[in-house]
Amino acid sequence: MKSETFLFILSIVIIILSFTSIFVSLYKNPNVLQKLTGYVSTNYGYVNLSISSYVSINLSTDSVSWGSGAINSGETNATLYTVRNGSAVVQRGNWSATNVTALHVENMGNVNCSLSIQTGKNAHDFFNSLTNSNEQYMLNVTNKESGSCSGDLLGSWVNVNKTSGGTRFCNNLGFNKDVNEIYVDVLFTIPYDAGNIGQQSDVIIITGDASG
Amino acid sequence: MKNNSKDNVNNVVVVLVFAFFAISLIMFAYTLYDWGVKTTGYATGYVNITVNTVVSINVTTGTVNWSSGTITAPATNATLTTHGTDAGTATNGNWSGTNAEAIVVANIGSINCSLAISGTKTAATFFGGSAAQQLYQWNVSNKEAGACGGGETSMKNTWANVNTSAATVCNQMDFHIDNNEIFIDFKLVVPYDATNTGALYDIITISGNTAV
Repeated sequence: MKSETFLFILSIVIIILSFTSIFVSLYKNPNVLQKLTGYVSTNYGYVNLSISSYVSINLSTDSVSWGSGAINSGETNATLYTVRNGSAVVQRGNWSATNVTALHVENMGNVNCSLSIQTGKNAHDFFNSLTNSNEQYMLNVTNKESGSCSGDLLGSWVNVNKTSGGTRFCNNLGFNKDVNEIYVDVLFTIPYDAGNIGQQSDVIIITGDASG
Repeated sequence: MKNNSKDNVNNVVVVLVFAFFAISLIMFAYTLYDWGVKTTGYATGYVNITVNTVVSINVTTGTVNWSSGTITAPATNATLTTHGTDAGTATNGNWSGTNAEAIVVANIGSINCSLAISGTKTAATFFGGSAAQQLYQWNVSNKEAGACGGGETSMKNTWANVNTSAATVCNQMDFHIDNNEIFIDFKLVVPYDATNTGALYDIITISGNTAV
């Protein structure tokens, strides 16, 4: 094949790719041309304002800290759980429930979003019961403000999920003021034969996604 | 001359095609970047708890009661022995063993522990009379398999004189349900010439410490 023919075919392929790329760019973001280049329209004066949508998840209460305690003698487990912004509950143990409340999540952005929660550990990772029993680590998402979140799991205790992406609790977390806040309650059942003794902790990742 | 002109045109075309391609790629990349930032957001929460261990000893059967009796003549002593949860037996005497079962001790804490026991009397201080005709002994054995296992002491499964100072009878007493109970059986050899008569008793102190 002559080099000129090869060059011609290569040019055609690149042009096709370029047009495809430009088409996708303009389809996804019609303002990209203006952002990249900027231009002045003659004949008309006008104000051009581009408002981008964004998701911003804020945790105004970002820590559930139970402090130190032990299971009551003779019991096979103790159960501890937060109750929204009220008093937490301790059953069969001597942990203090003072100042232990649910995580408080707000959508501070300007678009509705789904909400998923991923943890770093599951119940067994957290407590390591030697008999692999009597251990739970669960979450319960409820609306702080009515209508903030919708989803099949709302109001139910659900085992935590440490796999990538976590569990979707809200299909549509609102962003409008007064309908954009939820609670994430946390429940522990601590086994009497826990292999992990002393201070235990976990990180919870809460992700909002406006793309669905 | 003609060929040189043609080559120049080709070079210009190549440069223009690649420039076009580069611009389209930049637009495409910018679009993807801009689009992604707007649609996701995440926040991080934390949970933590401190789990303490507990040593807790429970005496589920705490009294060995032989009630009233006498030595059968012409024996010079009577032997009273407990047998776990079975009724006690009296040899050469008419004491009832109905309420004379072994003391049962359970580790209901959340960690293995050592176990030490002590009485307040010896055979001599319990009965008085002929030293050769009297005994006051205990015998520690597992009620549940493996309850007192690992680093066992020489006192286990052996009749030994009651010690008025704390004697370790179990180095590793298990805390797991179904493996955490032991018996302390007692043997009393009552001399015919006991100087202490009437209702006699002793107090057994049982203490658990973190196993080493």
